Amino acid sequence: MADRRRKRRPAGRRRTRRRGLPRWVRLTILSGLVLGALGLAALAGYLFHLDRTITSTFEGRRWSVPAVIYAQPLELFPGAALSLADVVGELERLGYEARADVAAPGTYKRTDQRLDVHLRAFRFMERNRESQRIELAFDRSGIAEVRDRSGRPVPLVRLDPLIVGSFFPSHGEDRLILTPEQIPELLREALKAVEDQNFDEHAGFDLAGIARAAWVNLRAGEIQQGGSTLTQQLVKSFYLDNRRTFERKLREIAMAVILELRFDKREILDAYINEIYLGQDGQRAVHGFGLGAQYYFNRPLAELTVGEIATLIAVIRGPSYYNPFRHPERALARRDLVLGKMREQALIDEATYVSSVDRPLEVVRGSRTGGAYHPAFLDLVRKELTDRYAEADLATAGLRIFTTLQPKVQDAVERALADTLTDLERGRDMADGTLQGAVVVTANQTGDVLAVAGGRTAGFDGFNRALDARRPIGSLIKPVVYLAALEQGWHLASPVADAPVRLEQSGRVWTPTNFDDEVHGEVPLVRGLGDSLNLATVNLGMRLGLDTVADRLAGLTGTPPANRFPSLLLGAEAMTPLDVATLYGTFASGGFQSTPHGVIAVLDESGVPVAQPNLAVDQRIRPEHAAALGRALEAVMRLGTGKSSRFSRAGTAGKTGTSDDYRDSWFAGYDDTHLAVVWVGRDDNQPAGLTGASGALKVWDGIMTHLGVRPILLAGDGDLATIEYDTGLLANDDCAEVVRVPVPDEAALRSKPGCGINLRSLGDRVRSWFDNR
Amino acid sequence: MVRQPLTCRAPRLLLAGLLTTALAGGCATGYPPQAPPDTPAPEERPDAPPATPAPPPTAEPAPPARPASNTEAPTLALLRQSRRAADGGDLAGAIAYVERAIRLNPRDATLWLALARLQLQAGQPARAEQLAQKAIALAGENGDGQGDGRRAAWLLVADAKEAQGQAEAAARIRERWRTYRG
Repeated sequence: MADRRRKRRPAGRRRTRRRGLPRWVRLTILSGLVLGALGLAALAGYLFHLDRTITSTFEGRRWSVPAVIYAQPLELFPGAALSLADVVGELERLGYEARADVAAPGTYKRTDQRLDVHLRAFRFMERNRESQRIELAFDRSGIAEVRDRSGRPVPLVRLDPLIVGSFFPSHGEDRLILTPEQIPELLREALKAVEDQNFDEHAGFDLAGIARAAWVNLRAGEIQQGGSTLTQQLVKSFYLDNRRTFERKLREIAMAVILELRFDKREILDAYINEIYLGQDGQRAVHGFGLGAQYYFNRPLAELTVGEIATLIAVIRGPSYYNPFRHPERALARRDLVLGKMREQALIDEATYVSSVDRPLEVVRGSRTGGAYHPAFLDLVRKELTDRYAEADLATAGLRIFTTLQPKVQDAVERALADTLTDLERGRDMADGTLQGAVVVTANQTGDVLAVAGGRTAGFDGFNRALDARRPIGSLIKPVVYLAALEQGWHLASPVADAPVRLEQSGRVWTPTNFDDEVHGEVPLVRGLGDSLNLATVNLGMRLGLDTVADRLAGLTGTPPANRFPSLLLGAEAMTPLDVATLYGTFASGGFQSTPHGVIAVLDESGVPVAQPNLAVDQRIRPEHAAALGRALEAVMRLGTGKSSRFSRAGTAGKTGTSDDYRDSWFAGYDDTHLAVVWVGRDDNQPAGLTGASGALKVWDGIMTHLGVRPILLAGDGDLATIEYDTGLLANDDCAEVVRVPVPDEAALRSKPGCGINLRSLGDRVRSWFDNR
Repeated sequence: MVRQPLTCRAPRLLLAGLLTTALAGGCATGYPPQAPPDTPAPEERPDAPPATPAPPPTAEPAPPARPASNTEAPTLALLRQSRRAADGGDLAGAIAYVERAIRLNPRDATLWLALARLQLQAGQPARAEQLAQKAIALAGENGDGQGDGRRAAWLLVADAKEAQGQAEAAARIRERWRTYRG
């Protein structure tokens, strides 16, 4: 804590003699004394004020730690379907380095079908994990063995989680605070050697240092050294004021002296290491060596090489002038100068110097290659936490937030969205950048949000279309209409009329048409949804009653629809992609809603959980209706509007959506594990010329190609009938495109002439076979 | 591509020892890759029935299915840790371990039931009831036709209802499952 040395008092004045002086002299002296005393009092008051200001800033800054947000860590265990490449990919994202000796945490070695990993220490939610070495062996299906150093099998171990961002205050300062133990001694010594050689002796400012700097600069003909002490630089950094006035300089010196009186050298040096400005990343100002190491090298400070530490020190002098990304040659020259100083002060030996100078800068753009910054996902986390925390607490309370983000899924989403939109534009002669898009991917059963893209440019911190863009959902609404029908006693083979409709809507006559402008007559429900027939859906919805459908939608999304007119039945209702994920998540999880969420737990600075939202589900659809709807959505993919998907027969389910004049192209679809909701359109709300299938579905295909598909499980509640998709007549797969749907009474169904029941599947058909005689 | 039918094998005994008796009917449902079913499961994969595969509608064949992980061992390890945390009075920790297991294996009815039980202990009966309902739905989906898992889950629903002041509904459920023997 603070060094409680007392402030030195100005030396007491000598008493003046009263006798023997003329009155006017005495008066002058007296008034001089009064003025002097007043001046002193004012100075004391000013110093007192400065003391209060700088001390509270210094103390306050230690506790002003932005919340850090972590992704889900990768779980390693024997039997995990993770290839060696998957694990290496994650290690690289985390900034692990390939090293033959694997001696230090944060390194790994890869040999044929094995990985030797030196895990970093990490304070997880449940407990602290020390750094440790593990060996992984792979076979064709994934991880075959996980063993510790002594060869004992390990049932389960996690990689450290990726840092996906932080909630820095609105003025933009971001930092990762290092504890004194996390700071390498070399850094402390090197900083002194380069920036302030008299640091251990001076009282906050250093006349000799100023003189020496002036001399060096004069000889070099350029500014090579600054005269400011580390303490002065720290003060300057606290108040971020670049105006150079004499008054400011004096104030800075006074504050530096006060700091030196109040705190010991090591506290000041460590504060400097956590505080100093090291670069700019968009809106985010990179402060301190903890974040600097992550930003420039994607690794913790403790793992940096001598050369890398020297690079960070080099940057201090001019983070934009010596920016290693933009001006590598300048940064390299200054790094070598820093290395030279280190050698000069015997902080490193000659061999280290030589090998360090030989190496290139080796900076990595964290947000591009490895550790990533995902503002769109952070928006979601912020949204969830603002109910609970003031913005200021998120920015300063040092919270650690564990989230559901899966970096691999996020990467897949970002790549698929960017690539597909570019392809679509090229294929349609649209100018680059015409199209925009948004994606939400969740884990089906838990509602965990695994990835969010708020626009096509990954890492861009701007309008988040996934969370905030409300667009008409078009046919994505149709499953709600058909679900309402199932709940009213209809089944998927029930006929509905795909026939022209004329409806009054707010005084105007509304005559919707089908996408192909045709009328298909009587069709089974499963086809009405599968082919996304507008007329069949409107006829069905009007028979059920508009209120029934509207109430059902409200029950599934938690929000009553704004539109209470028949056009609601065709999706003239605006929702965000995240809202759609809530709706389809309930379909994908057998009727159990779990609101999409990104936060798993929030820990305070000392590691105590202060929020743990916990998994929660809410049954919104009866299992038999959820099962039937799942079969219908699978038919959409296999035989309906989703059949152009490369996964149409791979065991997926989903629904396309297109709004009026092709302004919005939607697709929501899932496999056994993932639900992905995709929106494609234009920010200016002009027609994009894309249907759900020709736009959003392509993005969805891209995502699923990266992730791989696991076929869904079709639940088999009730008796299943095999019917022809087009007609709803009983049929078999030798002579018709068929779907198997639950029906309460198969006997009531007619057979397709010449294509009766498939006798090979006799088992469940005996009853109806007899009935059909 | 039919999922491993859930006739629990060796691990079931191990798990039974680990979990409370009510949970013992379930099993940690690992899905060993490429393990063919020896009995037909009541559920089906979408493309399972056709005897002659229909020609794919697109030129590009669908890529092979993503393999599933075998989560049996890690699930057991996590349940053990959860149990230890709960015994030590750390319910939040116990819940965190089970949730981690669910994230590894989200269709395992046993895990949702374990979570339901912990939430009931934590004084969240409404949440517990829904979690148990989820376990029931998954037990059905997983073809646990014997009803063991469902019985345990229904009894937990009864407890949760009772904790919410719905004694009659609780009694009805208990009566329905009282005589049931898997």
